[in-house]
Amino acid sequence: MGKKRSVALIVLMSVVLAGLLFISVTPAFFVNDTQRFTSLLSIVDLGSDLGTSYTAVYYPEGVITKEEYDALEAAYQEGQSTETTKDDISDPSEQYARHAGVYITRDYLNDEDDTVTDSFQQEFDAAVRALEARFGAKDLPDYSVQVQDDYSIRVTLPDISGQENMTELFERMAYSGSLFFSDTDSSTASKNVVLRGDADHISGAGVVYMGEDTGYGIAIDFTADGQEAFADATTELTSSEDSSSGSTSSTNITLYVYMGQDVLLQMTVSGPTDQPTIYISGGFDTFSEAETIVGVINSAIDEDTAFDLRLDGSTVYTVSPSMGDNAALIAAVAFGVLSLAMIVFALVRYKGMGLAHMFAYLGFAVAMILCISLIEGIVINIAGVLAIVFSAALLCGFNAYAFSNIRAEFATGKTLSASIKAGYKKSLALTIDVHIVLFVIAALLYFIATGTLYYMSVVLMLGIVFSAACTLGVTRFCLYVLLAQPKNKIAFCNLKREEVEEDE
Amino acid sequence: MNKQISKKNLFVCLVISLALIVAGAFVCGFLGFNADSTMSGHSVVQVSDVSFGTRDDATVRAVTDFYTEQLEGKGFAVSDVKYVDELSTGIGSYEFYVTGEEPSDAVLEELRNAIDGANISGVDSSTITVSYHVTENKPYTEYIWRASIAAAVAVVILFAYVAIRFRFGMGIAAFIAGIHDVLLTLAVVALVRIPSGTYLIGAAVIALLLSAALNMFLFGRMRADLRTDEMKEMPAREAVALSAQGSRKGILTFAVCAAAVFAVLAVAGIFVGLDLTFLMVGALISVAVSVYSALLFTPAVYAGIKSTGDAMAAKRKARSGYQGKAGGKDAQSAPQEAAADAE
Repeated sequence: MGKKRSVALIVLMSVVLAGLLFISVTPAFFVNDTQRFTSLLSIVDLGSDLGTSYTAVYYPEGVITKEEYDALEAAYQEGQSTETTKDDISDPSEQYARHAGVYITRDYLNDEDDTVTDSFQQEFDAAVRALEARFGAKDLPDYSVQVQDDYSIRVTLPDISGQENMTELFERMAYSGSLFFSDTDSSTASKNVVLRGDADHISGAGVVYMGEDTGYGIAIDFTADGQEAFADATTELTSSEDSSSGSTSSTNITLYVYMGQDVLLQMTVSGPTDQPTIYISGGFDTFSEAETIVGVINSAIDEDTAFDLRLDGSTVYTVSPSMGDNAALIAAVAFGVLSLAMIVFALVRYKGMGLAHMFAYLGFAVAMILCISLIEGIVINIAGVLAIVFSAALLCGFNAYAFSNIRAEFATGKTLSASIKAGYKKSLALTIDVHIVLFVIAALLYFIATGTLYYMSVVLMLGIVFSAACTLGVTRFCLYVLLAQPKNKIAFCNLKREEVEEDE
Repeated sequence: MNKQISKKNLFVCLVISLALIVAGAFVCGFLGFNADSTMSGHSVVQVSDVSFGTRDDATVRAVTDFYTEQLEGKGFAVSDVKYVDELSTGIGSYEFYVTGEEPSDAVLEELRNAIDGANISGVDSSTITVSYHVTENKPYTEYIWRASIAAAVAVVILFAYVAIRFRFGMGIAAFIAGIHDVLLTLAVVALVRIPSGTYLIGAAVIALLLSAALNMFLFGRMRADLRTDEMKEMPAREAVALSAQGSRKGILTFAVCAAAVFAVLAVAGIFVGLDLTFLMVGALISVAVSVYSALLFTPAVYAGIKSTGDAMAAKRKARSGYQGKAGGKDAQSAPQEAAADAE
C-alpha cells in the first residue's frame, strides 16, 4: 500500500472512530439553552439490577394496607365524635384483622382461629401462579414475583416504559375472571356469552405483526370444537340482525373479548367466521403491549392459572437499582479505565501491532455500544456485563495469540510480511474454531434459556461475532495499513530476530 | 516426566474436585445457595412519606440515617435501604431491609412518632407512616431448569465439535472439563456461602464459556504440536505436558483480561452495592476454576486418555504382527512406556 493512501486511511479510521467514540461515551451536556446532547451509552436499556425498576403490590379485594386501615380508623374516630354520624361508620377493627403488614377482611377468615378460608387461599394461590405465568411469558431480563405479607403480591419489573405504559401493564396483568367472547359492550352489566374462552375452545394466543398501519395484533387459535362453536355463533349473530325482515343478509357486529368485567379486545365480524385462527388488531403500537394481552389470555385458558379474585395493583412505584445506585456507571468507567490500561500495555509490548490492536479494540467497543443502544429489545443486566467482558477478553486473547505466532514465525528467519501472513494463517483455524463453538453455545442459550440468560446470550452473540471480525479482519487490515508508514517496519512491530549461532 | 501431568497429579486433581463438588452438592442440597438480597425472602420496615417526591438528597439521607439508627436501637439489623417512588403522586417510601422479630403496632407507632424529635426540616409524623412487611421470594424453577438444559446441550456440542475437529480424546477431555468447571464453580460458591441470586447462573455460564475457550486454545496448540516430529517421538504424557506448558501464556493472557475487570467491579461493588461484589467474586471463581482446569486438570485428563489410547493402538498393532510405528513410538516399546507411566 502506498504511503499517501495509508495516511488517508489512518486519518479516516481515526476520525470515524473518534467521532463514534464521542457520540458513544461523552457525558451529557447542553448544546444550547434547550437542546441537550445525550450519549449512546446513556440510552442503553438497563435491567432492574443496573437501572431503575418498577414495582407494584397487588392487594386482593378485601385486603388493605396499613395506610388504608389507618384512614378507616381515623374516619371511624372522627365519626364517633359526632352524634349524628356515630352509627353510620363501622369499626374497622371489627371488619378487618391484622396479618403481618396487611389487614384482611373478616369475610375471608375462619371465625374460630382467624386463619384464612380455604376458598380464599386457593384463589390467592391461583392468582400468584397466574401472575408468575403472565410476567414469565414476557421474557423480561429480570423480574420478580414475590408474595408479601402472605396475602399480597409484589411484582418488580425492569424499566420497559419505552415499550409499554407501566401503569397499564400492571393493571392489565391483574385482570381476573373467566375469558369469554360477547356481543354486549362494557356499559351493560349482564353480558351475553357467545363463546367461553376455555381450553375446550381455545388452544392458545400469540402476537402477530399486521402491517405498518395496524401495528401488532393478536392471533387466537381455536380447537376444533372452538372453531365450530365460533362459526355457529358468528353465523347466528350476523344473520340474526335481519331476522325481523326475513332477510338472510349478514351485517357487521362487534364482538368483545372479556376477561371478567374487563374488555381485552374487540373486533368487527361481518359474516360467519369458520377458521382455526382469528386475527384481531388490537391497535397495539408495540410488540410488548400485545404480548401482555397474549399472556393474560393464555393464563386464563389454563385451569391452574385461572382465578376470579379481583386484584388492585394500580399504584406503581419506581425502585432504585438492585446492584446499587451507580452500578452501571461504575461498570462502564471500570471497563473504560481497564481498556485504556490494556491498550497502553499492548502499545508498549507490541508497538505497531499494538496500535493495530487498539484500532480493532476500539472498533469492537464502538460496534458493541452502537448495537446495545440502538437495537430494540437488547437489555443490559449484570450478566450482560459479564458477556461483554468475556467477548472483550476473547478479542484481546486471540489478538495476542496472533501476535505471538507472528513473533514465532519471524524468529524462524522469515521476512516481516511472510511472518505476518504465516502467523495469521497459523492462528486462523483455532480462532475460527473457538469463535464458532462459543457462538453456538450463545445461540443455544438464546433459544433455550429464558430471562437473564436470554438477554446475556444476545450480548454474547454480538460480542463473539465482533470479536471474530476484529481479530481476523480489522486488526490485520489495520496492521497492513499501518505498516506502510515506518521505515523500519521490524522495529515498528517490536520484533527481534533471534541470533543463530553459526556452525563452526 | 512432567509432574503436573502425571497420573498422581490427575488423581489429586480428581479427588480435590470431586470432594469439593460433593461437599458443595451436600451444602446446596441441605442449605441451598446463600441467597442475596435479590433472591432471599426478607422483612422490610417501610417508611412512607407523602412528600417523598419533593425531598432533596440531604433530607432523604437524614431520614435514612435517622431510621437506620432507630431500627438498630430497637434490635434490628439493617442490611439494605431502597427507595421507592410512586409514579403518579410523588408519594414514596424508604424500605429498610431488616432482620429481627416482627415489630408490634406499638413499636411501629413509636418509630413513626420518633421522627418528630429528629428535627429534619419538613418531615414529621403527619407526613410519615411506618409499616412492616414480610416478603417471600418465589423460586425460579423454569429459569434454572432451562438454563441447565442449555448448558447440558452446550457441553455435548462442545464434545462433538472438539472430537470431530481436533481428536476424539480431546473431545472427551473438553467434555469432562466443561462439566467439571461449571460444577466446581457452583460448588465453591455454595461452600464459601457467597450470597447469590439468579445472576449466579451468568457466572456459571461464564465458567462454561471460559472452559470451552481455554481448553480449545489448549487443544488447538496441542493438535499442531503433536504433529511435529519432535513430539511424535516423545511419550504421550511428556508431549502433552510440553505442549500445555507452551499454551500457558495465552491462557493466562485471556484469563487476566477477564479477571482484571471482574476484580475492579468486585471492589467497586463494596461502595455501590454488595450484590455486585458477590457476583463478581463468583465470576472470579469461575475464571480461577477455568484456568486451573486448562492448566492442570484437562492436560492431565487428556494425557491419560492419550497414553491409554496409544498403548492400546500399539498392542493391537503388535498383535497383528505389524512392526511399524504406532503413535510415534515403536510398537513394541509403547506398551512398556504405558506401563512405566502407570507406575
